[in-house]
Amino acid sequence: MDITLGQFIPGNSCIHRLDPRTKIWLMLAYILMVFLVKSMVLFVLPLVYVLLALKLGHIHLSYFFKAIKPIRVLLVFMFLLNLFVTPGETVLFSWRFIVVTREGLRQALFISLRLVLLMTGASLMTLTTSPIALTDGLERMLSPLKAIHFPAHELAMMMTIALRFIPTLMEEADKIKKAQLARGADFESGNLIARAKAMIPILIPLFVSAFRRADELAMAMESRCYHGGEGRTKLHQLRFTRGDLWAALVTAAFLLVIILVQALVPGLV
Amino acid sequence: MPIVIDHLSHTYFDGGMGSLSAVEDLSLTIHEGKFLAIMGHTGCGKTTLVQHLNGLLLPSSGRVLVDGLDTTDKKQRSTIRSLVGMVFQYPEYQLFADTVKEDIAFGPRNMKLSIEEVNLRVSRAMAMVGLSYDSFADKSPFELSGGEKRRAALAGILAMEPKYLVLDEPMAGLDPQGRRQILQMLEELRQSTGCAIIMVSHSMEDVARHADRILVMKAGKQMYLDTPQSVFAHAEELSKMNLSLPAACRVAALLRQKGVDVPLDICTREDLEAYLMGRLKP
Ligand SMILES: Nc1ncnc2c1ncn2[C@@H]1O[C@H](COP(=O)(O)OP(=O)(O)OP(=O)(O)O)[C@@H](O)[C@H]1O
Ligand SMILES: [Mg+2]
Repeated sequence: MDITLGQFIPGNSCIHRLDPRTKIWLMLAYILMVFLVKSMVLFVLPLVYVLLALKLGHIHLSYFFKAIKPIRVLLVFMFLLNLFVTPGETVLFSWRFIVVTREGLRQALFISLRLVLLMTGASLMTLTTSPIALTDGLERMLSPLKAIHFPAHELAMMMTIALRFIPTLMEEADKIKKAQLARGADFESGNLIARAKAMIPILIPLFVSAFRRADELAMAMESRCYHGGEGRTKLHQLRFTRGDLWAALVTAAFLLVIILVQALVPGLV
Repeated sequence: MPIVIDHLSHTYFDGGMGSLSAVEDLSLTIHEGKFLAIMGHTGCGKTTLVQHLNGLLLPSSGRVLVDGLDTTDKKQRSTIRSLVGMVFQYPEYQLFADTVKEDIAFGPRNMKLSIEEVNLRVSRAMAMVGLSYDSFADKSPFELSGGEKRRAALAGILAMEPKYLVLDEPMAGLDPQGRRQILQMLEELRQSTGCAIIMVSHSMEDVARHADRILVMKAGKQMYLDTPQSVFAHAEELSKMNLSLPAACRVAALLRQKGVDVPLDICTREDLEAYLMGRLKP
């Protein structure tokens, strides 16, 4: 199974070294950027931004395409939908009931570009930030909400544990599948219902083992005095550095340019 | 007909970049009714090797023929899987059914046997592993103790009445008594049904006592394939591979240092005892 999408690539580039909180904020700013852009020409700016980040993060360009791969069906669907249903006047092409207008084509391209940019930006963050750092950052960002009893620490802990156990559970599923195959189980033939039924001998042991692991983990955490987020200190303190400042400034500049250009130059395509 | 492994190699690929050759150019014939033990340092490819015997893994190169049937042949796969039973490490984690009875019947049912035959086999398998039918058949497998779970899982394989039984470290995590019981059960099974046994094990004593032949693997390759007596005669090489010798061999080696010329082919307590008693008699 291919789970390389958005998986952390360890490294020590300036993007890797940014504070995870900065990266989360910057990603939000980037999303804002993509949504602010109303003209085709201006899409160059978020594109340059993302390519710059890829370059600085020493991430190979092929990851850009890998990020789009899982949404390719959605992409094509959105493109076609917008192409055909957008109302418009200038007809470019028509055949029987199929009508392609200039506005439709523009809208379709526009939406597709937006999707591609959003996807690559988001995966850029997970590519350069370890899951632990990400949840750490999220916890710190949400911690002001603790005042209204929002369980920021618990949420972050749950995310960390879930991410940690995905590979373990996949391995476990593979082992159980092999054991049942050895007992003559057949997962490949029969109709949909028969196949779903054939999954039971895998799913039940998998759930049993997931619960067992959860139980053991809880026990292990408690015996090491884990008692929730209250008064807990961190091994690695998060600190904003000069790099974070620069990243924020560059991003702000991009945002500003987009806003200004759109306000001052009307009628951009 | 035997299982023939012919120049088998297996390579794992991880995510396209790296590759790891877990078994390399290994040839081996596994005879009917014999006990073959497989030993080797952790990560040397034992599990990878045995998973080829019933087509759970397919060779990267080379062939595996089970009674003449090629494991890559999809049509023969269910036949092969009923010929070769496989007990995984910690088999108790594969239990899933509502009752012990149902769980043991899973294999035989997949073999499309008649209901009477399935029931017969379930009770026979339970008797073999020492779970009484009356007290365990209708229990949930999740209510059993660890040792009982292991036996129920074993019964699930035995009920398929395989001609070759492969066990991957079947005694891991059991106490000495539990280990003895399993070994004794395997011995009885072999005598009553003539089933061949292929066992991955780290326990030298057990292997020395029960195996007809031992395959020692090192980094995916065959190091030795011989009788326990001849394999354990390579004491130095084995200890270099972090494999400890059976206690009897170690005692014999110490005696040899003291000038008692104990023959090299002694590797069980009984043999050593007999030899020493023989020497004491005038
Ligand atoms: N699914 C897999 N993908 C990639 N590499 C694997 C996979 N399974 C095993 N390996 C690698 O192949 C090598 C052999 O593994 P294998 O499980 O056959 O060893 P083993 O002899 O059974 O070890 P142990 O005594 O610890 O059970 C190891 O180096 C292991 O890391
Ligand atoms: Mg193993």
